[in-house]
Amino acid sequence: MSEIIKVENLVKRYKELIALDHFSFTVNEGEIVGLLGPNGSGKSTTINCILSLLEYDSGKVEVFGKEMSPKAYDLKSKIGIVPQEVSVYGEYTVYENVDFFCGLYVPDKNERRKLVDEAIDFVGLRDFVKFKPKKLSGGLKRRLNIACGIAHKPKLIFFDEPTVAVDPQSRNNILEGIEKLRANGATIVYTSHYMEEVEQLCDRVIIMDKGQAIAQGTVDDLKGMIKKSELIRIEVMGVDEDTIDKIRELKSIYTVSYEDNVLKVEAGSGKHNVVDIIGILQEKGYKLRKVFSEQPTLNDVFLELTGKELRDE
Amino acid sequence: MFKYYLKKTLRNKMFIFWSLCFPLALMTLFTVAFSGIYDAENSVDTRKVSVVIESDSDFASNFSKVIDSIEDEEDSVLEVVEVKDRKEADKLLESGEIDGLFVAGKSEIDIVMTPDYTDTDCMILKAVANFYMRQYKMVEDAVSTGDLSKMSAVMESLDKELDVVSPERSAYIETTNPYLWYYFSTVVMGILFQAMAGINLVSDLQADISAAAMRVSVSPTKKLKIVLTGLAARYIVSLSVSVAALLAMKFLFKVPLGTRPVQLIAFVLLSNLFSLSLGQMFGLFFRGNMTTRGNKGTAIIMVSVFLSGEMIASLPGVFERYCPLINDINPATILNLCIYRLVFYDNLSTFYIEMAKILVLTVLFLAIATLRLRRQKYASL
Repeated sequence: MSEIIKVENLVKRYKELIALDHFSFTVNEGEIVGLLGPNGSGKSTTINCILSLLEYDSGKVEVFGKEMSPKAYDLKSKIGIVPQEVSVYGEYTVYENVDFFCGLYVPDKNERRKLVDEAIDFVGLRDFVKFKPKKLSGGLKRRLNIACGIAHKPKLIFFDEPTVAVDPQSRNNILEGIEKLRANGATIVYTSHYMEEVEQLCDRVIIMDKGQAIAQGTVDDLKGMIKKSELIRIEVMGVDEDTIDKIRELKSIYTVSYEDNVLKVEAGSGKHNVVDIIGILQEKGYKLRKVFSEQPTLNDVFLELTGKELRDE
Repeated sequence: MFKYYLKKTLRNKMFIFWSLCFPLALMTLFTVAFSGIYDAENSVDTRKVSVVIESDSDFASNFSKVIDSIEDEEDSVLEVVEVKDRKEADKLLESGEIDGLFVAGKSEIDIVMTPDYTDTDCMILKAVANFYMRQYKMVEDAVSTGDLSKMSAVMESLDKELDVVSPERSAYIETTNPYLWYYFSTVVMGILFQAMAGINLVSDLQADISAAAMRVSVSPTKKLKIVLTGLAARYIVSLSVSVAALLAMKFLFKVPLGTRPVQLIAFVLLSNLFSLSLGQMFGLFFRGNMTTRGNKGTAIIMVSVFLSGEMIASLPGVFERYCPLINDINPATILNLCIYRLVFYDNLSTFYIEMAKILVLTVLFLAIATLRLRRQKYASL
């Protein structure tokens, strides 16, 4: 897999404030990489520096193997952006907005018509093509925002908190759409401070705080970095000591206790903890009533690494 | 892109309101309010005058003959009421039986008006007296020096119409119809509000002002192309709006636009470009979001238009007496003077001076705006 984005030691200062502090990361072709961090952690600044919109103090940004600059028009033509704010014109209809922004990349009218139609269908705005943005709900506006960013079929797409203030149904639509884009071959950089989205969507996650990458890897890698374990609770009658000992012997099990017909197990990172425990209980012929598993979250990871909550809302 | 920028400007309700609808509404209001007032006050009916000769000089006696000859002309503005002496003339003045009195001395002519004289009455009498004094002096010079070329100059000038308006800066005070100033001021207001389109252009291109501009900035389309396309589209809409306002002024409100179409077109072309470039300056150098910048621009234009006499026509005249700098730097006054002089003055030198001022400012503003708008990177967003 080739590197689509390579950022090395990026430093951006706003007077005394260091927005990006020697920030480095890479994004490989076909990946969805999440930049996760609280507001002000430097996610949008990173995107703006990569896009050559923001001046930065030092560092290097390469996109598609070439140095990114404001005049790198060949690189820009392969990039799409879905900004945090709904960035469309109130004077244009849905169709006109998508057509206008697509027109900045695709001059040919016939080709553009096809692309615009595809983008509108992709985000499910076919019934609203003649509507002005102010007539659309918040969720539909977000979809229009996405359509304007992807209509020209970019190979690299930046989604900067695309689900802020969106209802759950629209949020799911958006996330499904992003999955589809990746399936169609796009590489995606996704910023959010919603850990659930990042967990659901991203192949790799870079956790940011104060302009630095404090951890990066897959979601499981990140969860494996912390001590907090998975907590499993199983309601089951009359478990004997032999069975409890057998469970204790399983890999990545920290503690096992049995009280009031509830078996409590604390386990480290491991994908099959619940399955393994249930396997042992069923082998011994126990009938299980309820099974609960509490996984550590990225918020737990952030909390353990920084001492503060990820969500500041 | 051009088509979309055209649409965007035409669908900008605030822009259309301020640059077209509001001026037309004001003109309608003026027409309703002023209709008949000017005619009543300043009708071109014949002015009754008397002449008192207080010297036995040729200058004085010839003046009496000139006045008589003016009276004999078809559609003459003067009707001479014969008086024996100054005393009788004063009585007629006091009773309002005559509008004005010429008192011809040895080498000068004094004008005495009734207490309730109008500017126009005064201006006509002054114009007649000045005209005579000027011609008499020229003839006297020609005769005394025997210079025939001077004599032919006198003959040529006799063929010309009398100037009833002072050709220089007194346009603020001595207009042929002070109400016309309001119409021109209103048209100029509409033109100045084209600046809103300039502000709008900046917001479409500056990524630190609008998120949509950020999207435009990261596209592979060259910034200069977008700047020029956006400017051209807005310019065409601005011109169309101004032409519509001027046509309405001429044909609906019956306000004269003069007889110099070429200069008028030049004025419309230049003044609209000036307003767009002024709007770009507002957009670039004001702080705040697009709405804030627009509001600040609107406020400045309103003040500028007010100071140019939109509500009180005599205001620029007051500034001219006490602080001419205000008139010299106020864009609305400059544009107002420009079109007013174009329509009403024979001598266009002052019109061209104002046009030159506007041209220099426009070129300067456009150069600054283009350089700034081409900016690709920002210190902060």
